[in-house]
Amino acid sequence: MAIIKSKIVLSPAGSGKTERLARRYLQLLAMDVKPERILTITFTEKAAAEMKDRIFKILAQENPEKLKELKRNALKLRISTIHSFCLSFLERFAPFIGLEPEIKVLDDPTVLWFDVVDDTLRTIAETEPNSKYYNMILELIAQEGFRGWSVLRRILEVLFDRRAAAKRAKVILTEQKGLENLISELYDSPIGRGRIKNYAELFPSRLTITQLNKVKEKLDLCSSVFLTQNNTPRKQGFNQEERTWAEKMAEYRKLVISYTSTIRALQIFYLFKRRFLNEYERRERENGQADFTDLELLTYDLITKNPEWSNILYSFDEHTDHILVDEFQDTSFLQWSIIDKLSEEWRSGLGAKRSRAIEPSIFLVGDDKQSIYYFRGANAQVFANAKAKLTAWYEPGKFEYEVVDTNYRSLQSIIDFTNLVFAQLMRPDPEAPAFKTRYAPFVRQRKNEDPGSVEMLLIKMAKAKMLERRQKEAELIAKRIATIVGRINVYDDKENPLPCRYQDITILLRKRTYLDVLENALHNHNIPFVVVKGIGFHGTPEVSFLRAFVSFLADPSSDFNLYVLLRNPVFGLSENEILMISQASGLTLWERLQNYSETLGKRKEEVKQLADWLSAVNHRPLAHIIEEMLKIKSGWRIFSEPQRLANVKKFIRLVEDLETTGQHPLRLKDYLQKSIEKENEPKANIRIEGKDAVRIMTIHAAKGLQFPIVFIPGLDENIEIKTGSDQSILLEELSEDEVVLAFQPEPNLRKETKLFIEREAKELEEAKRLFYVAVTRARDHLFLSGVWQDKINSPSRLSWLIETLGLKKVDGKFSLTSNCPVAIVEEATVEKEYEKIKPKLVIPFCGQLPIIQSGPLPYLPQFEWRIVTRELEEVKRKSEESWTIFGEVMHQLFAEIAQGNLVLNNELEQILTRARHLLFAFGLMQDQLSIWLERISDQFRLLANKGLLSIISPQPGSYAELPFILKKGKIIYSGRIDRIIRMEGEIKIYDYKTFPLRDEELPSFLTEYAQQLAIYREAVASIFETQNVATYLLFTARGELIPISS
Amino acid sequence: MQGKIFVTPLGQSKITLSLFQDICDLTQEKDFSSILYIAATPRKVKETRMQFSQWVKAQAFIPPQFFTIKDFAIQLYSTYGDKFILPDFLKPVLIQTLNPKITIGYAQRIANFIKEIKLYLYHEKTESIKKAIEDRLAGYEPTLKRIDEAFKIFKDYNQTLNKNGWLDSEDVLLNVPNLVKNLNEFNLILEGFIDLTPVEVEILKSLVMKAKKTVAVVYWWEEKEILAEGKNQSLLDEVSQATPNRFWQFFQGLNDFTIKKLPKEFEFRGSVRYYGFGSLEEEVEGIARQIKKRYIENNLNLDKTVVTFPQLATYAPIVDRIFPKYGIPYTLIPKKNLKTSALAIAVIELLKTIAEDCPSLSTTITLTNPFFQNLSQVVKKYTILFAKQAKITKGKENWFYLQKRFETYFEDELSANEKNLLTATEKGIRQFLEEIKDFDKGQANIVDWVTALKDLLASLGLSERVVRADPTLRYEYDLIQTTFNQLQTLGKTFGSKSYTLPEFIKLLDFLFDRKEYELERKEQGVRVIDIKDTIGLDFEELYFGGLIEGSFPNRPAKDPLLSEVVRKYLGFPDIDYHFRLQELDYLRLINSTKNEPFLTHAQEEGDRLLLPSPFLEGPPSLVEPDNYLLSEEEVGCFQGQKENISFPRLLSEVDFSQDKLAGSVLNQKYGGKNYFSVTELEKYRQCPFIFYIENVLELAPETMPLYEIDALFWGKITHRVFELLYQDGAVPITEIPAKIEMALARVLNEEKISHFWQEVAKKIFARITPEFIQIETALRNDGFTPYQLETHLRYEIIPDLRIKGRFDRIDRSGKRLRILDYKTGRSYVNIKDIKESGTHLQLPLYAKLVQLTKPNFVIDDIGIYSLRDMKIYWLVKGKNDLDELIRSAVNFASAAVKGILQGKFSALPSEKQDCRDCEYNALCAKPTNVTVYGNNQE
Repeated sequence: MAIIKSKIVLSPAGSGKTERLARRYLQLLAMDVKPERILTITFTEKAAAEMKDRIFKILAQENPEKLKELKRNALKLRISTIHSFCLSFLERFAPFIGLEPEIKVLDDPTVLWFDVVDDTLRTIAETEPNSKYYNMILELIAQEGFRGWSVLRRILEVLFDRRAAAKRAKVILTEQKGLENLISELYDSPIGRGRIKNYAELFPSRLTITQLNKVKEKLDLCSSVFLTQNNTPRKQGFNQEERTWAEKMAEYRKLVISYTSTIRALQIFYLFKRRFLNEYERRERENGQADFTDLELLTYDLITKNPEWSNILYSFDEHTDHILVDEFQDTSFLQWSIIDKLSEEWRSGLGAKRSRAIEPSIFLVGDDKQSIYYFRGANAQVFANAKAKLTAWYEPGKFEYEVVDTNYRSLQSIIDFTNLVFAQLMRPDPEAPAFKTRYAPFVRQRKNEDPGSVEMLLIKMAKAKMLERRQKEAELIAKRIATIVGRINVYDDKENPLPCRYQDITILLRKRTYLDVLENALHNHNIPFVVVKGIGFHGTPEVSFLRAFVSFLADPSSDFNLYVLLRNPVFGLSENEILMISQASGLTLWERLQNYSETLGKRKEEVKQLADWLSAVNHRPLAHIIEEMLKIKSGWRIFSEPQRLANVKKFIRLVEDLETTGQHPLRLKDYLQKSIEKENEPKANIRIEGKDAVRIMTIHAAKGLQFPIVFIPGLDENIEIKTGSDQSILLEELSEDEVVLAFQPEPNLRKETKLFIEREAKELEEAKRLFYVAVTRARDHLFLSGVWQDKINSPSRLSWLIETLGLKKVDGKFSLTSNCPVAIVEEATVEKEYEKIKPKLVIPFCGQLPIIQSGPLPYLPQFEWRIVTRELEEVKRKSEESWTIFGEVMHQLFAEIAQGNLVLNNELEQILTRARHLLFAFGLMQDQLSIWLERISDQFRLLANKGLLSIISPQPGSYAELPFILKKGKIIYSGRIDRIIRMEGEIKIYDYKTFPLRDEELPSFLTEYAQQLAIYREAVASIFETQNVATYLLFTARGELIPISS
Repeated sequence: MQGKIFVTPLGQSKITLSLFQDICDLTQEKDFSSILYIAATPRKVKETRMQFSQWVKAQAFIPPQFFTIKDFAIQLYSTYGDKFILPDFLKPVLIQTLNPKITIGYAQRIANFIKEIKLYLYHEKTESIKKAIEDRLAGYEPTLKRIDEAFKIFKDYNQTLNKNGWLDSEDVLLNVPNLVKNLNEFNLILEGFIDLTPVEVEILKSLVMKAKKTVAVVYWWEEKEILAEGKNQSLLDEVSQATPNRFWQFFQGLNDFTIKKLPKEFEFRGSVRYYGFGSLEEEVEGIARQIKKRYIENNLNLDKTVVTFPQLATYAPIVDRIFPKYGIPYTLIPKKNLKTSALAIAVIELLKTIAEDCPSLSTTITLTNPFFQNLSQVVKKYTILFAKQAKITKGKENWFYLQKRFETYFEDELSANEKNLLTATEKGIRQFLEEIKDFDKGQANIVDWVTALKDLLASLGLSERVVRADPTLRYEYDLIQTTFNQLQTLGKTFGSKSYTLPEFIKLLDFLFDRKEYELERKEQGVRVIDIKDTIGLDFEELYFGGLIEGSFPNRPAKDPLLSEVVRKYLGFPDIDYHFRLQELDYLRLINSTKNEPFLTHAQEEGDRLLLPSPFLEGPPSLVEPDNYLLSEEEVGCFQGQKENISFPRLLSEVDFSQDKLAGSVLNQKYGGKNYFSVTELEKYRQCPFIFYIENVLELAPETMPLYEIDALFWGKITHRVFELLYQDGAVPITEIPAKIEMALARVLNEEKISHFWQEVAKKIFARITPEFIQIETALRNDGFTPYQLETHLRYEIIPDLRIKGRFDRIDRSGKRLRILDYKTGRSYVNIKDIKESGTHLQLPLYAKLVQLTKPNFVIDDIGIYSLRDMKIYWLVKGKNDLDELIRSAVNFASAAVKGILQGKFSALPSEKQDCRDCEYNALCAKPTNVTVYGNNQE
């Protein structure tokens, strides 16, 4: 039996985490574990692809045979994100939970949520006036005043974002017990009764929101008795007993505030779950959709709540022996719960494995110091929980917890700096709360004795606004970059020194607020740069323009969109002209433009183009119309800057994708309009490989990457705690199945509410981790910059460095603690260096335009294929749909009669039976049959009366429905002739027309059919080698045979 | 029965001509009707039919019969069979009728289950199949339950079909071997078969037995040359085994057949180079360039060139967009599904309009739909405009009273013409509402829903006549009508479960989605086709794209009924089979042309990193740059880059100071004795460019109408309430609550807002009234009482600066005045802003107006009465800097007026910080965002 230990590996930055996971995977393969039995979970789709790539590359070098084998099992590889895994799992078990087996993954739930919120409010408001929800929502809106609904909407959005926890976990009322205890302790206090009038009224009999609100008001009125002005328990003038009473009263007040927050939150939570989330999920199911969170929630439900959960787990168990998880620190409680549950039976020693003598394993790798997705529900605590759980579950020797202390990435200075700063910032204190990060130092592994460098660029500025500070700093960064490019060395993979290029430098931002300031500074100093994974796609001018174009085509009454078009250089109308157009008559700007054009004879071309595109909307893909517009209006030239061009193409693909799913242009417009709200939509990727430009990106985007030189600006920016309405609600996970809730719209009261205080502490902890991630991206050199602050009121990275590096400013000079591996560089020094080397202009394009061949390829088709009868489709079409079916049936009947398969007799019995079958089979409704059968019967009788039945009767030398091919020059005609009768020396061709025709219609019909019959005639003459061919039209409804001559 | 087998190297199979030559004389004969040609794919059938016409020497002739197995079976059954054929896409509907509890998607999976049993295990008894499955699933109770349910449905399904004289398409195939005996004498040609089901094998066998002579192609493969060492089994064998394909063995057992093994044209390739591109679009561009390059440099034969993708549906729209840009003649016949057709969208949106109480989007889509000819042109033209202005989000009532709602939300005066249009639009909408009034009857069977829908569509004017001019629409119209008819027939024949309207919409949507069709396009130039369609085709150059891991090989859909193990046991295609078949496709294709095919792979799409297909080996190669092969788009880009175009610099500032015509427009609007409102001047101070858009052009970005009362409306309500409160002077404090209540009731009645929002308003006023009273009491304690409310004042405060304003409230104490301005939103203003930035000019300008119009009074204080925070923020209170404040404000106002009249509307925001979130950034000549790589110099 092959045994491999289960393991958690705490693998810090630069320690080769991905390599470890890949090696574990290969180790399993080497033990002859089949790839389909190894489930590997990565954090992103990209990471999954990279993991596969890594495995393939290692095998290509080390074991090509194994690689071939693995590739032949490509469909069985299970390396994916947890969402892909859940999707595949759900598709397998969809019928258990009433889901459609084909689940459409909703990548972006915001648009649906947007609609649901509005519709649900309307439904409650308009149709449920007597429901509890009506009153609840009414109260909640009213409580927040005139902006009540906006506030509530934002809160619902926060809950929606956290629905992984909100939906599943139980709400724990953490303060209830304490509150009840304090009430019973304080209620009879003689001190209280003696000092506060109506003291008993401070302690409610029931902890309802109304009662608690009253208590809070009363406590505020009498708080001066037991609180100081700073809200601390009063001591002055109190004896010990009184002090204890005051402390308890202060605690009681805090708990009342906190508990009230929770109770209020519960109301919103209830409303959210029962109505808004319910409706959202209902619509998803109706559309067969599930968003990413749903995939996790549904999977979790399937393996925990479904009546068949044990069977489902058994089934999973039977197919999976090993689970590997990458970036485990970014796992949410819900995700961990799924992994935990899936592997529960293994650890219990039960399940399918034991009977097959297989020792399953779990391998979790990550770094809790790099957990930077708290805002998205990741929880660094999961790491500790998993460790505790696996340690408890596994027998000794079957599980291992490994802490890696090697660093293969950075040079000594950076390692020293990181160890020095973070060992203090993340002090491993066993008494500290579980959410605190604990640092373990690492050791350099790079074989390079150059220590590299850590430099702090500090600016002295007295009392400047944040914008001014950032502008100054950006200038300094630009200049510093200019001075280091080509002047300091970086190292390649083999540790060969190379002069630094722009592309070796990456600026890592904590957030994008001042990105534009930085861009401007780099721009002004001619530093080529590229923003990697920039956001704000929908707000760029080019996308705004294209959105306006699509919106205008969908809805020409949208004046603003037309204005955006006209003002844009692509259409390029001057504002003077637009002003004149706006003065013309018309209900909409479009009407005014048309009237302006008509009256003054101006802009005729633009009006015509727009009108043409408007009329094309219903039959041409919008993506084509956009490209045509860009071509005609020189749009490609105007949006030729690489990022803009990439954005334009991304937009076109977006529209194209939406169109292929069958979206009406107005829905597309609606979707694009709502997308404006998606501020985080990334700009299109542009190819940066080989481009010598500084990279700018956020720290989050840099995770998993490394760069020779890293700049970290904004040291002095506060690690601000947000204050918007979305901060008023709190939903925190305590464990896999418990959450706490609070709602407090008053920022001041939040500062007194335990849960909010704790959230702040967690956010601060996350900020430290983010700083750690930023610092550890650097391989060779690290530059930190900021504006010095004499007085620091709230935490910032500068304050942390002051604290950990002993950074001081004495007599205008900066100093650091001894042995600190950091050099401080001031503005003046950089300025001096910069003046010496002012960089030259960078010319991005200076080549000649190439010789261009952009026209269509000259091409002549070898031949043209034409189907004869189809050319006359138009004629046929003039009859009703049922007549078409009738015609097809009659032709079939005639053919079967001619071929002797149907017998023609006076009663028409067999024919009508067959006709009934055919009419029905060709799509005629049962209740319509009799009328059409009667028509068939009438036509047969008419043909009999007119002596024309012989044409369709079986005859020697005759053909029915004879296919033919006729070649005429480059045209090949293909057709089918209804009837051919060969007589002595002559061939007669008959074409049946079964629909009714009025006398006056006949001449034009005969003309139109003459061409068809000429082709028939030519084909038959050639096939049967005779020129004696006659053609006839047999009008069966008229009982008339008309010869058609050439 | 006799024949010949051509054993052909896989991929190198261009022997169709030889097959025909073996059976007939193409130079002499004219009647080939006795030849029955059967190929694996419709594409092969189509191309052979066309090629055949060229091979035959005669000018005209009677062609052979060309079929795929499926088409042949249907043709044969239609002639000799006596039952009705159930269309495939309706199977799930019938299954849902038999078991209404299951979802339509799951019903589809059961239909697949039934299909596979019929095709792969036709010779087995159902009970023994069931038992075999149950034996293998012993212990998996839930799955067993589903298997049991599926078999019950299977049984009911067959019985129901039989009882009513129907059968399905698999039954049709099963009937073929028996019906073949009816055929007259024929010669048979079989080509392109690699992947056959056992039933298809039986069909071909029966044809071979009946045919006078058979010529067939069987493929061979020298796997040893290319497959990994140690592999014992040939790929073809694996595929054959997985599909219990005994076709080859069958031929081998026939004595009268000769076998001719054809030699390889060139050596087999185990792998070839491939090229990596940045994205799907770049990949298609890469292929286009390569075709163009080879055409120009090597005279590539476009008619002999094939482009193929494993996921053609994904690439088809890109090819359709990119190839024309490079001027490449091509044929791409994409599979469309009915759901994406404009007509189906019209039908579904109409139904959603009815089912969801006229939501604005569905309703406007329906009302403006060109297919509904009976809706008036006015409705089509103006519905969206009026609905937007009336802020309709949903609700029949709101549409019915469009005009009334419009008047509530749209404050400008309408011209007579506009009024007429509004009235006509409302009338048209009412007619539409009348049409749909009785449509939704709650629950109904499928026949009733379809009948009602057909009637409704007819009454709205959707008929064949409307779509006649457009062949595509006409075809789609027919498909929809056929779908309706078939649903009615199905319902009438087999009964139907009861559907609610939303369920019926879902069903229709599902059926439209599954109704696939190909539109006719002229065949010319390069063929862009699906991988399966390349089997047996004649081409010399191949471009093989979309070689992405996950797409090729792709994974079959998960089977919710049978696990992989059971599928393998039953001989159904399983994941291994699926892989092998695709591997075979890959090897077949890379060996299909003498010249090495051009294989491509996209490395990214959006944020997704795409790996090369596991069939590919090594790293991708790089394509040599071909700068001269540009598309027109790239020519444009190069020109732009050469000119060093930077978009923001192309946007012009708005400055009309030199333009007389514009000046006259502005003069008409703002000149002469025009009085500027303080709000206008504040807007200009905020940013002249915003003022220009919003005030001069009177434009604003569209916002989504929502079910809420916006800030502006709340402001309107509160102002009016407090106006009414004090309209008869300072009411005693004790009467304030009752008075507010009365005033609010009156305002709510005037504004006609919904009951819910009335309730909200009442609650808010009830909540703020006590605090309001506290503030009012404090004001009275200072000796002030309300003096003037909602008063309009206008004055030329200095020469050429005429200001007007509507004062919310002026309180008075003797000769002392206080000016107050109600605000429901954010209220904080500081003096510095007014003095330095010229923002928030309102209160000081009002103070100036009061000073000038009420010279006998003294202004003591000015402040903002915040109804959000329920407190007054005093801007000036008992201080002496009012005059200085007024002076600054007047200076700023004067400059603003001058700027407006001169037409200076450049973007000059008073607060630079505001630009960050400005919704006009994209139009602004000074945007904050300059993120562009390159072009960094001025």
